[in-house]
Amino acid sequence: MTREQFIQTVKCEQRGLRRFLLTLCRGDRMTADDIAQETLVKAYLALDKYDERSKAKVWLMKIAYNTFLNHRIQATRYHYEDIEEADSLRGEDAADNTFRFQQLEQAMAQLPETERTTLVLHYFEGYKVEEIAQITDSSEAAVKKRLQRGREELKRRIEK
Amino acid sequence: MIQDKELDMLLASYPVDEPRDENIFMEQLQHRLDAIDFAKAYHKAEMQKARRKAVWAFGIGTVAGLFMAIIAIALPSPIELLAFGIHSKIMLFLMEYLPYVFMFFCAILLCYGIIEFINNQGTNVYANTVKSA
Repeated sequence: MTREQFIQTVKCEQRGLRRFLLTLCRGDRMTADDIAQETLVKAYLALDKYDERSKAKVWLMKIAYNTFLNHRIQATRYHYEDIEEADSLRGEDAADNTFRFQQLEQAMAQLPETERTTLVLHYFEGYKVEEIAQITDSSEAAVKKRLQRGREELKRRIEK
Repeated sequence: MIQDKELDMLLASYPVDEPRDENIFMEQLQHRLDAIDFAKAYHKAEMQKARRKAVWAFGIGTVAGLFMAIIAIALPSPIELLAFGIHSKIMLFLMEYLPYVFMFFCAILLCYGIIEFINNQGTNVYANTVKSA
């Protein structure tokens, strides 16, 4: 792949990549974009190892996920909102979507990293099980298990 | 606890945070890629220069070595002059092969000298380039 082809690929995939990292970084745009930049630099340096038979977006997401994990090990924990803040934003109508989304957000924040990543990739980014397995370097059975466990946990934490 | 269907609807309708400033992001990336390309090109040029120096040093060393070998072979052996009164076989052996030992050390010194000379030429060219820039 030449530099021009790489740039074209990045232009097509950067939105999904940055959105995924933004979700993993819980809305911290600066950190998400820093990790995205680092991901794309690593991808450019490893262009000779890229197998053109595999999908570019899956390859980029795999590098992004590994870069995020490395970054998380080095950085301090991300701050996430306290549960009390969600209560104060509860609307009078229990079916209020904003409140539901906040509950979902907080439930997601409390999931283990691997389950949260799997749910984000599947439900928010639309990746299939086999693609998620490639990105997270796991088996398809493990991905299915994480999806199932993640869903059970979300159902348990989100109030009816 | 909510039901499966409700969770599916919630996940499907969740407003995911979208990234912004695509142009700025791409511009920053292009700058980074430019820096990488520059570093790669510089490294490649340095490697080519080092290879050329090695070839030159090898060539000059070979020619100088052959020249010295011819001189050494053409010279008379000093053993006839120096062996007077010496009976030690080791000393006689060393004296017989003295020209070759001498030639070997001269070759090493010559090789080292050529490499240092070529390296210094390279350093001077770089220093002049930096000065003129």
